[in-house]
Amino acid sequence: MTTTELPRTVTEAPTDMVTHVVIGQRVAKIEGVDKVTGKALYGADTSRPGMLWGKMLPSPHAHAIITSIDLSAARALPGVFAVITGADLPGIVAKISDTDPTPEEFDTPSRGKQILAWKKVVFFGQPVVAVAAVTPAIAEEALALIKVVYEPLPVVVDPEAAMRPDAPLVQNAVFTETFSGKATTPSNIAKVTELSRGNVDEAIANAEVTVSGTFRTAMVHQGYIEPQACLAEYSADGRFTIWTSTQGQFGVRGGLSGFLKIPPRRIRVTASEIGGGFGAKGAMTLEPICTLLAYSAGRPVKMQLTRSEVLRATRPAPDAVMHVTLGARTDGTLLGARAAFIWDVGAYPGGGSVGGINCGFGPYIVPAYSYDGYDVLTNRPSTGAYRAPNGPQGAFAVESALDMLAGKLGISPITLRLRNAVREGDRNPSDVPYPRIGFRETLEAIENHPVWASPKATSSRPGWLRGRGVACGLWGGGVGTSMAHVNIGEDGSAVIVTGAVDLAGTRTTMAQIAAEELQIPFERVNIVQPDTDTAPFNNPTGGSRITYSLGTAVYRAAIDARTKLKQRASQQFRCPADEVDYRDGVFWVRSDPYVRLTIGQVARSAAGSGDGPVVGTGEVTHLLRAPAFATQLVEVEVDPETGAVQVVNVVAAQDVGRAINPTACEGQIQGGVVQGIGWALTEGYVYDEQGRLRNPGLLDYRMPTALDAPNIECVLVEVPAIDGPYGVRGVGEVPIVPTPAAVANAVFDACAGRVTSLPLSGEPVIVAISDARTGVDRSQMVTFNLGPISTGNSSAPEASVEEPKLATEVEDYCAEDDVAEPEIE
Amino acid sequence: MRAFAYHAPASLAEAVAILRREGPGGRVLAGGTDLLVQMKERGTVPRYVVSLRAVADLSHVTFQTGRGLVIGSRASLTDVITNRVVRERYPIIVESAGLVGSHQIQNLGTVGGNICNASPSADTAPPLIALSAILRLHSNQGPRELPIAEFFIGPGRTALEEGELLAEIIVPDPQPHSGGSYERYTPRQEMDIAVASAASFVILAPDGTVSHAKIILGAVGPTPLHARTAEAILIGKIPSGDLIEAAASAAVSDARPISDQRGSESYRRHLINVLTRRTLNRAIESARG
Repeated sequence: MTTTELPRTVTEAPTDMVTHVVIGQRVAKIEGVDKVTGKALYGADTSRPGMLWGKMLPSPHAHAIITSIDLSAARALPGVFAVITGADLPGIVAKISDTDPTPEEFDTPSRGKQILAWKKVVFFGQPVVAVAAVTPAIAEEALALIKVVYEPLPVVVDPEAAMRPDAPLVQNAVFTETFSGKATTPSNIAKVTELSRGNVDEAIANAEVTVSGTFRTAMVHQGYIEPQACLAEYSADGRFTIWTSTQGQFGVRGGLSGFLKIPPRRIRVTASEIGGGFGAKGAMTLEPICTLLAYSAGRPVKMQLTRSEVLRATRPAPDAVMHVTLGARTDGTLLGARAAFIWDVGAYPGGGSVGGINCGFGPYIVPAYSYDGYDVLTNRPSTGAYRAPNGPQGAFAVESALDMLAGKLGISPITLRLRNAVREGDRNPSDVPYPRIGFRETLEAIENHPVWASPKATSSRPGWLRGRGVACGLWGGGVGTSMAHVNIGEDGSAVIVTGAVDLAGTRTTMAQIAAEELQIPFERVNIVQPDTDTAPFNNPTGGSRITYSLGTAVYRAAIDARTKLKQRASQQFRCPADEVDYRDGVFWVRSDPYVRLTIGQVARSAAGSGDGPVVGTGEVTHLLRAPAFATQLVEVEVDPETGAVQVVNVVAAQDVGRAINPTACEGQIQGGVVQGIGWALTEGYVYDEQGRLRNPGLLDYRMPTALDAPNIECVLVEVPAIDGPYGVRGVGEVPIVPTPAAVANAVFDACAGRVTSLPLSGEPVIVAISDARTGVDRSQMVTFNLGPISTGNSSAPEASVEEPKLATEVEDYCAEDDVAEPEIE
Repeated sequence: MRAFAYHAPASLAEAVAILRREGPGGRVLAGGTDLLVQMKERGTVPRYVVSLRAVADLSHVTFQTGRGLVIGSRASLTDVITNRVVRERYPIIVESAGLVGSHQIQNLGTVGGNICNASPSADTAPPLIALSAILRLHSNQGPRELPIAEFFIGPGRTALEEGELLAEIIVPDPQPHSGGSYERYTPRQEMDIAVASAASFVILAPDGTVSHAKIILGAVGPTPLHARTAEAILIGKIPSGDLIEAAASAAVSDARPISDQRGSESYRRHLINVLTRRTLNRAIESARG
């Protein structure tokens, strides 16, 4: 028998030639059985004895002063235990925290503070009053008995209109923020972001060819199937216990601690199984109001949003109006690029800024560029994170413009992108250099794919046209703090303890990492996610950071456990630890390989001897970001008579660094593509002139169904990241980024109509086809004129404006309809 | 959802007696796929609900030559779609009922409910009007019959009187040399509601001319609309491409669409032209056998 086999490499170096056993395997999701058998406990599945039900009264106005609220009848209704308005918030917080009332704090226009409308309502459906009652029906009865008198104010729901000096002010105390300071007069322009490199005017003037266009995306919702739900309980010892559907239980604990002005130790949060979040459940929604109701009522309170509440009053993604100009040489080399993006961030500041341009221009070497970003307030719900926040918008504008440029130059859209693709060392629009990346590899994967290489097929449906389009996308990568424990059981099995929420199957990938490093079978690893009192700290799940960051923590914890086990084995062998070898669950003494102990034997003995049982710990705070790139090829069929568009095939190439679980990677990619198809074809908030949302239900807010999902072939490109274990990169965000643009580019290829507004299915396609026939070029029509924007103390940013014209293609969606609108007055 | 009283009568007679006794403010529940969503999400607050789920004598789908097809108001869309006689003799009904919601919705939802919900975009309405269906309505006073074309008054509003419910839908015997077709436009492939729709039904005379034509437009008015000018263009003529184009153009002026979150007025007119032409082509092709 051979004497010594070396243990496998334990460095975090990604390029090692180690053969992995569990990493890279298509293992099934650990929690899959619980989910498909209905045993998994989601946000609304927990109940407590004596529990009440909380409901909120939504505003029927998009903008109005609250003149008076009569709560007497609601309070008198038997079964009602608590009724709270915005005006009650400071008093309750003061009682909970034993601090002085500070109503002024609630004057700050912050969605997080103003959990109920504060003096005025600023968007349709904004919660005005919250009640807790013994049944949901009594709670609704109580809401119906509340009389609110409103004094309606002028409404602005269009971001370009909101930028005009005479526009109604959404917030009285928002002052334009710029890099150089803050304005002194209130404005709907919450923030102006200016970025530039080189002399863009000169670069574009010297360009041999230019293209420009104005592109619009709609306000869209994340579309998680599980509406927000929360249960809060207050106990006499002054502690709050919260069960909630969230992407980050420690985020909720920290957020509530700040809101209630109490230390985190008085708050225990349990994250439920989550039915989708896509960024939206990274921020608190129900937790603060549910907590206040429970405190006021003296009983546990459960709240669960309805679908219409989810659509009306959570945090969708901002719509955007984006003007882009590209200048290039005739060989396609980009010389300069100019962008002005208007982000409709809704009624409260936050949610816009630079993400869109980092995703838009980020994949390309742009020697000279300028970007003016405007975060604009409107009477719509405040916006928030949605899968690769602002990436799909920015990519829609830039990738559409690139497609126009490729067409003008008569070169392949892939050739154009390869000519300008960033490599390691190139800098992104925020001037951060890229580490090793796999962008070109994704382009080449599509270029070499049989679908791209073969001639375009024709539709089997008479009259339908077929087209294909390409677009790329980037997500910078998510990082943050993660911790994990790996508890070794007496049988040598392992339990990973983490406080991170599993949004996307990461329990399984974590177990794979632990199994790999402990060299035990995957089936012997379990993973639990206990509450904030029990689990080690974790930042919320989001930004594609979990497999990367928590994966690093689990990797380190598993190696720590293995090292400790080896030390325990050495105590049992009575030899120095560095004489002990380990492989695949067996320890032996190097000098005498017949002296062996299994991992189970070592663990069992360690439970009552030597240094005791083993817990491995791992933590990570800030890895180097690992950018992920994607290139997608989309094939569509278009009915030129109705404008119907069906996506029939997608090839999605993505640099995943290292696929821990290829099935999980493909699931993420396919999910992102389907969401992107929703953005492209059918999804979008529709408001009337009074600022009322016309489609607060899944009938008229049209997410793709299974029948709208095409065949999606995933091509996993593996260019290892330079930090973290195995070269892994975050996978979840980037696949949504290219899809809307790729669909629009494919539609253009099919019918020669360039659609610049999303969602595009139906009428926009008809209009684009007709424009192409009649020679109308709407892509050249700038439909907004920013004009000088007074920020009070900084020079006016220059807007990229050519031939300002008024909007010509605004569709009137706002007439009365057959479907009754929510009766919420 | 607010509190409400729930009645589950075992017979039609009992059901109408409850409606009579309880008076205004009640809603009749068949499959519940529209009503429950309205009660949960859209602020519909009935004082009481009368469920037909336990009523045994309303679930039939029968055909008798001379009497036609009779669909009980409790029969599910699936009952209708999977019925052999309906599939053979009334394909246009199968075509439209099969578009309502999903399989799950079709297992619960009813043709009767689709009609009584009176949405201008209801998929089963245009074909049933095109086929000149008769509705049998019941109240405590007994039954009465009403042509389905006279049933729709406005969005969500019908000719049902207080204390009355829909018991049966009667579709006349199929005619020789007839053909029908229904098409709609939806942004999604399925699980969607029509932005505009059209049902065409024609009967050809032995000389090949159109002897009878019905064109019913959905989602382009407060109720399903009769495209009378379009029909008139066809009568007595031998169908040709030009004739069908002319009828489709006429249907556009028969439509009275509005702009809303599902589509603009102009886009709906555009769709009516396309859908009328397509359904007429298919109806005529099928009538020619």
